[in-house]
Amino acid sequence: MLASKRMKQLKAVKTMTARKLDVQMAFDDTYANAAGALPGAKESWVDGLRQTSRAILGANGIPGPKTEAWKYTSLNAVANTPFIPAKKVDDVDVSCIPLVAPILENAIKVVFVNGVFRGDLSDEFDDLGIGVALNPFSDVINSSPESLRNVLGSVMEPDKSFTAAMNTGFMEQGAVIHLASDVHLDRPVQFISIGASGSVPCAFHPRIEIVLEAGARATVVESHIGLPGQPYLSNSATEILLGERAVLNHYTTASEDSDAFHLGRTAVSVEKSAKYESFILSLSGRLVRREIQVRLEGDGAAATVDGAYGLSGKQHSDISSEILHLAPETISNQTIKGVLAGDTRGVFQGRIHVARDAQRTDGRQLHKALLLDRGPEVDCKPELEIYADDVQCAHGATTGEMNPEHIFYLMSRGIDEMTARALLVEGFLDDVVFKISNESARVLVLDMVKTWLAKQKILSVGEL
Amino acid sequence: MSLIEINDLHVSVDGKEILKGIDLAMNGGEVHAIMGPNGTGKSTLSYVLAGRDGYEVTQGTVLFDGKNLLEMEADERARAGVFLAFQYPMEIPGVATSTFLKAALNAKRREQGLDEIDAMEFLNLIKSKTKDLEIPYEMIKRPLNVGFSGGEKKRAEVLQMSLLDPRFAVLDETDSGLDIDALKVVSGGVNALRNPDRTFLLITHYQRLLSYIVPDYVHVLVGGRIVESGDKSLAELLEAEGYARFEENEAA
Repeated sequence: MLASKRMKQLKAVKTMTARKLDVQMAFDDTYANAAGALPGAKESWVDGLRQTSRAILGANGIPGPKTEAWKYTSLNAVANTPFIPAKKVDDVDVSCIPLVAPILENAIKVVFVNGVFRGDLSDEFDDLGIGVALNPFSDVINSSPESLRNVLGSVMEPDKSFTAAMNTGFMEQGAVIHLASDVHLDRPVQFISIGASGSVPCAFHPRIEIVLEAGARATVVESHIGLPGQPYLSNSATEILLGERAVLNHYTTASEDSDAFHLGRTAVSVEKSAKYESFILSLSGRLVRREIQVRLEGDGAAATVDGAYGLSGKQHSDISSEILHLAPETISNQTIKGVLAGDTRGVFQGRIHVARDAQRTDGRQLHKALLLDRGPEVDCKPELEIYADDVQCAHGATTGEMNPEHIFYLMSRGIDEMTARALLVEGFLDDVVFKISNESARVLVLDMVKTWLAKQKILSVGEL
Repeated sequence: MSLIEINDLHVSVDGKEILKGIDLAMNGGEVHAIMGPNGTGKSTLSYVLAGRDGYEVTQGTVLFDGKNLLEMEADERARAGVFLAFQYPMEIPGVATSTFLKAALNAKRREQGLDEIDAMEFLNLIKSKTKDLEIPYEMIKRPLNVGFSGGEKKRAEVLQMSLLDPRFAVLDETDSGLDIDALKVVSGGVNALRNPDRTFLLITHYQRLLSYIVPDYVHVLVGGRIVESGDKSLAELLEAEGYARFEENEAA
């Protein structure tokens, strides 16, 4: 099955007209000879997957505004930065990392610096119990590649996404979680990915594979952070397969360095009666784009794809989601809320696709943006594509300023205007954060929102 | 000197004059009621006293404890001891009621030169007050007023009043949307707060509330003016006869 998919991709590359783009493929020279030396390269199917992805990148280049999926998010700044592979960076001081990493209570921490697994900074995870396997990606792809044969690239499709293609073309390190049937992993797993360029801009492509067999349950948090220095490009991909009745809580936070670029994609397949609950928090970074595609493959599969973002300065945040209802009685719920100030741009693209036989589907999507001044731009593109006739689908989008009646209500209780605004902004975001069902993750995200707000000067200015 | 002195107060909204010369003096410990038909300026008066934007005072003064109330921001007024119980309390998603109550209480304490309230002390205070007002304790963990019933919202307003301990409380249509049981609880809460230093201004359309919170003075507001003042028997008269008599005079 996988072989035929690769054929299809190769064909797609050949038939695609090479478009002239005003940006050049930034990675040509640096990565030209990298693929042969990457983990798993001696496996022809792994090598083929990388080659296919790199061929797609080569043919398409870096997408520009004419590519629909990138209409609102420009990659010019990424294209114009001469990144080197991050493993060549050797002048990173990691001593401050324990101080900057968000703390998730009781978590099994797995730390990557510039995409490189750091056992010295991670918790022990050799023995997490029967049926639980958590391993570095490079170990698995080198020593037991067959275990990933039907997993890797099964839903993370390089021909569908530049982000996926770039990650798959250059993936090297990361992690693989496998839970056997009906195994419940009680402790959450926290991946902490730290970008730190030091004196040269670097790019890294961490790859996470999560496979939950039937009835298995887990909570996984991805914390993407960074240290000041030259800009880095964090290009992560997380591929998730949930068997029947499996339940995964998956929370991704991006609080990157203010000069950093973050292009991340999550691709999920949800089988019958399985549940995927996710949250995306995007708080800092020059450009943060989170893509998520959820395939509801089996009857009664359900997904929650919530998120929140906060933007100030000159930040750009993009959350692009695609929910595919492919079976009857599947359910999806999406609430994304953003707070914007200054010269920022917030993008939400949400596509809901309901296949012909996905009857009695329930798909809901809501995007709400709160503007704190007149500077920001919000682009919201909801898309409903419905081929079944017995479905309930709804989407909504609002963009507005703070409600003066709310401010007055708080002030009428003696709360000064600045505090009132801060409370209301925090409440606006917390409203969706409260929906995170895992308590320690909820506390983590609430704390991150609070910390972000405390740093914002936007709220100390009285005038809108 | 009275605690509150309203002198010849004229207020316009969007260029249209709503209050056309209000004179009212209220002393500590007194309960005043303002009654009147809909659209006569009752809520305008309450918002002007609380300091809401959008109300232009074109003439007149309001003194609170000798200070010019109209020069103060809404939050300053509140910290000085003015409280408005809203007719329609705002629903604020995402802000836990307890977080809000604590912020309000601490704002007042800072004004008084006190430290922020200790978490345990706050918890005990809230527990005792919610019990008095028959408010389920769980309610204060929920987002402020979100999904509260009409009665719960009004109880929450009285809880806030009780916590902030104002010297001058304006209750805007506090009886609206309450069934008889809720009305008894809310009135009981208000009555428990009556003391010789605190002044109440009850704004209501109906006499019903005044059977539970018995006022010392009743004023009739029609067409932006107080057209008659009296004791509680005036409210009973209005209940029996309605406002027609005053409205005819106004029209004439």
